[in-house]
Formats: sequence, structure tokens, C-alpha cells
Amino acid sequence: MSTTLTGLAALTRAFLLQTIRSKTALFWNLAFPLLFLFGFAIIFGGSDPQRVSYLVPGLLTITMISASFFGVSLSMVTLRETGVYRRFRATPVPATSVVSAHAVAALFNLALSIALQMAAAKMFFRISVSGSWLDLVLGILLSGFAFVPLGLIVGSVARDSGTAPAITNLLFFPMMFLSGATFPFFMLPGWLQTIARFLPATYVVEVLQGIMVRGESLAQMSGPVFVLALSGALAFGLNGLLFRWESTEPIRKERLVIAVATLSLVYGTTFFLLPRFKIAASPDRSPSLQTDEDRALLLTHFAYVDENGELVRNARMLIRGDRIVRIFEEGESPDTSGATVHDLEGGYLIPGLIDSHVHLGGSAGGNVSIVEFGKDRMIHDLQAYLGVGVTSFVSLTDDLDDLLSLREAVLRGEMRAPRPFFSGPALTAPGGHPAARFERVPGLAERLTRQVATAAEAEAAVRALARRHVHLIKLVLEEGDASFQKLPRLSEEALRAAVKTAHEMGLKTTVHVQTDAHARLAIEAGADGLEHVPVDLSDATIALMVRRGVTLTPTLAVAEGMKNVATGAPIEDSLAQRWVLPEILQSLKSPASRIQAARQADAFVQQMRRRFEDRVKRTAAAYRQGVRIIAGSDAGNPATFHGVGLIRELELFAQRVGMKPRDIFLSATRYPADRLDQPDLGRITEGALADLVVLKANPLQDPGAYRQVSRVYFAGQLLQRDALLTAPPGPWQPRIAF
Amino acid sequence: MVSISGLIKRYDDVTALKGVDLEIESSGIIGILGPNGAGKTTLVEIIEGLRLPTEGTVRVLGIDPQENPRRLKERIGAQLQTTAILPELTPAETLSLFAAFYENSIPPKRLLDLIGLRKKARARNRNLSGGQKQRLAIGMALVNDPELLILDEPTTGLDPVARRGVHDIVTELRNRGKTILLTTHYIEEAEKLCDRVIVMKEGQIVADGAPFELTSRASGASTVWIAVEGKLDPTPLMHAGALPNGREKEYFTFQTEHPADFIVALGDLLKKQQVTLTDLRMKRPALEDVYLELIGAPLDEKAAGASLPSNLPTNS
Repeated sequence: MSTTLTGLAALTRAFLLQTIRSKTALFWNLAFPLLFLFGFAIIFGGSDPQRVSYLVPGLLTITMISASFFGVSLSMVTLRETGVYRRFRATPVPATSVVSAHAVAALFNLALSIALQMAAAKMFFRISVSGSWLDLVLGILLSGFAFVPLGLIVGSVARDSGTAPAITNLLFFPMMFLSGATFPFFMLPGWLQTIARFLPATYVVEVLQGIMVRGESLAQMSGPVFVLALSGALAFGLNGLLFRWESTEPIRKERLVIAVATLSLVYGTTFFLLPRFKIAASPDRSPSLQTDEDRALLLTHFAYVDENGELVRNARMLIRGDRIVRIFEEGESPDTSGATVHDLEGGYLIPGLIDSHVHLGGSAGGNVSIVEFGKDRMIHDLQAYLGVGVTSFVSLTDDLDDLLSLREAVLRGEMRAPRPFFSGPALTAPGGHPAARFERVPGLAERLTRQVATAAEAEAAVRALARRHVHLIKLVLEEGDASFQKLPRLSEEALRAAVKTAHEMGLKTTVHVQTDAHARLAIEAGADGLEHVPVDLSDATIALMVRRGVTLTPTLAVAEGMKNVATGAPIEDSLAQRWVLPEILQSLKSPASRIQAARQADAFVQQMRRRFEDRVKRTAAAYRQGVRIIAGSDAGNPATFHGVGLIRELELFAQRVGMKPRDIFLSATRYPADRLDQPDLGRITEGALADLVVLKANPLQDPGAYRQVSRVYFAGQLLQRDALLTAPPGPWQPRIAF
Repeated sequence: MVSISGLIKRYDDVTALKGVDLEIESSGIIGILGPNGAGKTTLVEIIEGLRLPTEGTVRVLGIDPQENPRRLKERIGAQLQTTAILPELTPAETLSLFAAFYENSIPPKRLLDLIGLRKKARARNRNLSGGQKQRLAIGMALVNDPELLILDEPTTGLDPVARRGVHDIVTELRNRGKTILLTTHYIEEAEKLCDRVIVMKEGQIVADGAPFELTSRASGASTVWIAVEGKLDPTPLMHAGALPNGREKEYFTFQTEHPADFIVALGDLLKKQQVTLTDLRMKRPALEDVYLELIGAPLDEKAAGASLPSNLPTNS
């Protein structure tokens, strides 16, 4: 009927006028969200564009929850209590018009306050939106569509203006604190995350963060989008069962139960279908970094190495935010207006390097200096990685909490450090390697290892790690040294169970191996990669690796480092002189260090020498037969320095293993990125992350080129390499140092 | 227009209407008079379709309010006793809002003229006086040019001037040929405005008719006050059926069922006793008396009703 629509339009207008003209409503609707924005942005965001950009999705969510709950439900209760609805009831206007008018007016109000908040955030804090603005607008309307009907339901069922705020707060506070609007979702304990998945706000934060922070499109987040649309539509429909014209009308309890049950069912089903939905739990899915999307860079005068290891000359590159958006030939002229031009002066552009085997917790020193155990050492070494052009690393065996918080800080743009990928603790036998080495520090072994004896324990450990969003699972097969210390080894059943479970959870596995027998066990259990090359690695095992596509990370740098320490060779590497703390270099020479004590034994010195040579040989054999080699330094061990270690590894690949320049290049760029399932990392293509290194020489001809870094870009920003060790890198601090 | 038979309305623990039969056919103002709790509001809200009857049949403009409330609401107008308007809107906006609810409506400007709020058209509702609010409420009830207008206690709580304003509007509407159903607990209002008065008591109709019909039907006596110069022996008046009611200040007061006989007897007496009449006041049994009698108000209230009214029009 036409009056249903004219009534709806007139009521919407009336409700809007009612808010616009009321000073209190104006304050709560417009001024308060702004105060909230400024407060949060200044106190928690430090007025920093990147940090504020990360905060904004949560703030918008809070604004929407409060507008929907406090705005809609309280005004409904007031209108019912004072008898305004009663008067409407004496006219032909249907309840649906009244309810719909509330919903439309609320959406208008919400859009207005959000627009104001966004405008202020853009103007005063220069925030950026990684995804499209259209998606953002649609996402906000969708979120309103999900929230407002819930406010309508509260408005319909609240007994009076005394109970309405109580119900509202009961819903508001969990949504505010559990949804990820105020605290990052992944920081919540598991059981709270479970509860949070029953709250619509969680999905709203996911969608808004997806668009604003991670640069995803609505289509990529079909899961949460679907849940929000469905629950909004259902809640709106259910409100028809619950609406009351007069306070004296009874609250229909059985209908309320139906409404609550239906909505719980929607979110409950979502909870069980979870693996298909992304949900804020996993901030690493797209390692995008908060950057100013308006900032554009045009790189000129360079040649670059593409993802197949081929050199491309005469290219130009447009970078927007943290991404490469366009690569084009010098003749072409796409729109590059507003872009800052960086002339690379004929340099060679490669993707930022990836060190696939590091231990951030290790100092690379002799474990004698107090500096080695300090938090500043770790922060210094993170800068060293960037300085030599390593923009990502894979930590195998480190403190998981520290890595999670580091990743969070890096992705938020709060901390200057390489992108961290990690296994967290390693799985080993009870009392096995490396747990046995950590005995002196109480609790350390428990943090850095998961010591499992049975298949069930291994499975549980892997599941727990997967839930905490590690990037791969590291397993250890090692029996220690027969002449020094014999160690228990991870059982075959535990190994198999761990690999199987990891694969079920979508994670790759890599196995620390000591002998050919270990390598075979690992390969047969289905492992995806081997760490370290056994001195006795047989050709048969190599052939099996090739057949199964098992990668090898030989970590020759650590073998050479140990040899050098054992033989007492001076550290003359110029990169080490520049990027390693002097105290670390000193500590290696200290007579107090265990390694200096050990080198007194000739047998030890001989063993280290032989081991290095054997490892080089077996790596060469594996390479020649076609095993995919991945570059990892094992930095953190004595004399294998953070950052510098990878450059040395690449040199050893060239000088000792005899790898082709193309394969060396791929071993530290695309191959490790592929292993981590990071399609935007480790390659120069349109859409890839703009982590870039400029070399003065051509790495496809000159293996020493990796030493000649002239520039490093991280997430589209040129790093001031000279200031890396002096300019404060950010607030992140490791929880532990050892 | 309204046809009700055997209407019973029960709430949880009380029966608000105990079998009401009512026919309204003519136009004009029909008043429903009764004390608080008599069931007036329940009755009109059932007619408006806001409440459902427990038993009995109700037809308003030939429509069963229970069956087709929306069609009925299109054609009637209601001013409710307990209600509110959106405080931040203006009267003009409020009338436009309500106009949008109906298929046919009167332009808000014409209504503003009718209810005398032209000057307040742009004021906020919350700043209106009580009388202005009540006039706006009547305007809201008139938006759809209703065939039946129902006003539930439109003057309760208003000062005399504001009450007068509402009376003027209602009279104007009556002159335009509207049918108006009006509840009130002000007897004067019913007496002054209504063409027909229905008295309700404890959920039942106890009297129904034109005000003069009701008063003439009343058993009440007229009260007469006389003041004289000289010594008066009122005994002969007793023979004419008057009951002496003592003295009030300088006035003799009498109660009589037959005021005409009393006046004739008084004339004779004055001549005989050579006494000069200085003042005569008389109060005929009014609707008030009838009403109080009907609803069974306590005696002292009755007596109070018969005390010398200073503002009573003198018949001398």
C-alpha cells in the first residue's frame, strides 16, 4: 500500500529531524565519536598515520555498535514509554513502517558519524585505506545492516528505559573488547576467541580491517560478508515478531527465545564452518604493511631480475603504498602523476632477500658478553638484516610470543624490522636436541621446543602451534655426538604424526637432520624440507628428495662459521665489521667462551674442518642432481651473524657449491616465498610487495653483487641505511633475551 | 455510526466494561461523562481499535475494529488521553507526518488555521503550552478529515482559558457537521458542549440523553435563597411544599420540588407581611446534581453542591 511507503519516508524524516535537532543526540552521534577518534589516535596511535590507520577499523566498529544499540534501542524505548507509538497506532501506519524508519534513520545517522570520523582521521591523522573506498563504503553499510536490526530487537524487548541500557551494555562491552575492535583478536586466549566468533562485531572488524589494513576486497571476504548480511536480514525479520507499540504489551518470551536461537544458530554454524572463513585471527595471511596509499614512487634507470631469474632492462616501476602497482617499459607512459621519482642510476633491482633459517634469540657471539643477552642486541640485529638487504626471515626455534608481537608491530608499521615468518618452537624428543642445550636457563627449553614422545603428543603440539598461526612446523632429528653427548631422538611415530597433522592444517614441515638415515626418515614421513646437509647424505637419498620435491637448506654459513671459530680464523668480513655489534665480535675471541675452550682439542678443530668440507660436497651433489636449494644461514650460532650470514651463504653457494647465479638468486627470493605460500613476496611483479634491494652489480653475473647494496626499500619506503643503527626502530621489545 | 452491544472488557483482575450497549447515529457532540475508572477510556479505545473487546459486538462506521483496524483508522480520528508527540518537530511537521499515514488528508496549513496554531507552526513541539499541545493533538486527529472524531478528555489539566480554546474548536467542528465523541469528567463541559450525554459508572451506562432531558428527569429539588427587609415568618411557604433549610448569612434558604408554586406563595407572603424582598437567588437542579445522584457521590458533596453560589446568576 502506498501509505506504507509515504509513512516510512515521513517517519524516517521525522526521526532524523528528531536526532539532528536534539543537542544530546547530536553530541553522542557526532561529537562523541570524534572525541573518541582523537583520544585513541593521540594516546594509542601516537598521531602516527600508520598506527592510526590500524586503529580506525576498530573505532568505526565501536561507533557503529554504539549508534545501533544506544541510538536505536534507547530512542525506541523512549518513544514507546512516552506514548508516541501509541498515537501512531491509532493511525493506519503499520508497525513495519515504524521499524523500518528507525532502521533507515539509524543507517543515515551512522553513515554521517562514520563519514565525519573518516574525514577527521584523513585530515588530521593522514590515515590510509589499503583497499578500495567503494568496498569500504559498502562494508560500512553492510556492517550497519548487521548491527541496526540488533538495536531494533533490543528496543523492542527492553521493558523500559531502565532495562534498555542494561541490555545494551551487556551486548556492547563484549563486542567492544572481544571483537578485535580494541585489542587485536589473535591476542585473545582461545576460549575467548570462540566466544568472540558468536559476536557480529568480530566479523565487522574483520571486514573493515580487511579492507582498510590488509587491502582485501569484499569478494575476498565472502565468508564474513555472508554472515553479516544473513544475520542482519534475519534479525530484521525477527524484530517483526517482537515489536511492541505500548509498554503495557507483554514481552513475548517464546518469540524472544526463537530470535536469540536463530541468531545463535547463524553464528554457531559460522563457527563450525570456520576454516573457510578468514576472520581476524590470522593477520599474516597477507603480510601487507600499513603505509600511506597516496604515496607513489616512480623508479627509473634500473634493470631488474624477474621471478624466473631473468634480467629485464629498461624498465620503470610505479610503487603505491607498499606494493608494486605497475612495471612498464621506458617508452610507455602510464599515469604517474604525483609520484616521487627515484633514479636508481643503472642499478640492479632484486626482491628483498629472505634468510630461511635464523635464530633471533642467538647472538652469534661466544655467549660471554652481557650485550649478547640484552634486548637491544636483538633489535640491533633486526636492523642489520635490513641493512644488508634481507627484508624477510624465517625463524626456526625462537620464542613464539616475541615473534607474534614482532609481526604485529611490523605489520602495523610500528616497528622497523624485516617481515618475520616463523615455526615458533621446534618439535623434538623429550630431552632431545636442542632442548638439552637450554637446560641452564629454567623454562627456556619449554618455550623453544615442544618435547613429544608419542604420536598423540606430536599431533596435539602441531595443532596448538597451528592455532597460533605459525608459518611452518620445524621438527628435529638429532642424536647428539657419540663422543660428546648422546641425545634421544624424536620417534618415528611422532615424526609421522606431526607431518601428517601439519599437512592437515595446511602447514609445511621442515626437518633438522644430522645423518642420511634421518634424512630418509624425514622424507619417508612426508617432510617438505630438510635443514642442514648431513655429511653422509647419499645419492639414493638425494634421488628420493628430487622425486618427492623435498627442498634442502644446507646452512653452509654456520658450518663455515664453526670452522672459523675452531681454527681461530680472524673475522675479516667487511659486512660483519659494519653490521655486527663489536661486543659480539669480541666475545668470539674471549677465552671464556665455550667454543674457545673446545678448540683447544685438535680433534674438534679437525672435525669442524672436515664437516664443513663434507657439507659443501654433499650440497653440491644434491644441487647437481636437481634438489631445490633454499638459502638459510642458521644465523645466531657462533660466528654466523644476523643478516651478514645470508650474504655469506649465497657466496658459498657460488664459490664452493658451484651453483648458477640464477639458482642462487632464486634460493633467497622466490623459492622460500613459495615455501611460505606468500605469492606477493620474493619476486618483482605487479601487485607484489615493494620490498626491494638495489645492487651496484649484476647478481646474475657477479656473485659478489649481493655485497654491493646501494638501496633498500621496505614496504615501498626507502630505508635510510646509514641511520638504521641509530634511528629508533620502534616500540617493540622482546619479552625474553638469553 | 457506532453500534455496540453486550460489550464486556476484562483485564487481568478487573472488569472495566460490564455489558455496554450503545447506538450513535446522529451528528453532533456526544459526551461520555463519568468519574475516573468508570470505563470511558476503555470504551473509546475499543471504538478506536486500540483495545480488543472480551465479549460483545462493536461496529464503527459499519467496520469491526478487530477485523479491519486499518480500514477503520483511515476513517476515524482520535485524540488519546495518554500520548506524546515527537518533541523536536514543529506543529506543521507533526501534521505533515500524520498526513503521510493516510490516503486522504487535509493540508497542514488549513488545520493550523482551524486549531489556531498558525503562529506556532515553526515552534518546537516541546516548547508549546499545554493548551497548544492539546489543540495540536486535536489537529492530528483531524488530519484525515475523519467521519468520526474521538476526543478522550481533551481539556483535562488545562487552565480555563486553554479549556475555552478547545471548546471553541470543538463547537466549530460540530457546526461543520462532524460527529464527535468526547469523554470528560467535567460536568459543565458536558452540559455546555454536548448534544447528548452518556453517563458511565463502574463499567456501565447509567444515563443517556440530552442534558435538559437528564435534568428534568432528576428527582432533585431547587434551592431558593431570599433576603428581606423586615421580619419574615416563612411558615406559609411550607404549605406551598418548601422545606426550610435554615439561614445562610442574611439569606433564608429553602428547598422545593415545585419552584413555580414557591414563587407564587412567596409573592403572597411578601404582600401579607409587608416585607420588602431585597434579593432572590435560585438554583435549579443542574446536570451536576443529576450526575452526582447517578454516580452516588457521598451526601456531603451533595450538600456542598447546594451551598450559596456567589457567582450564581440572580433571578431577580
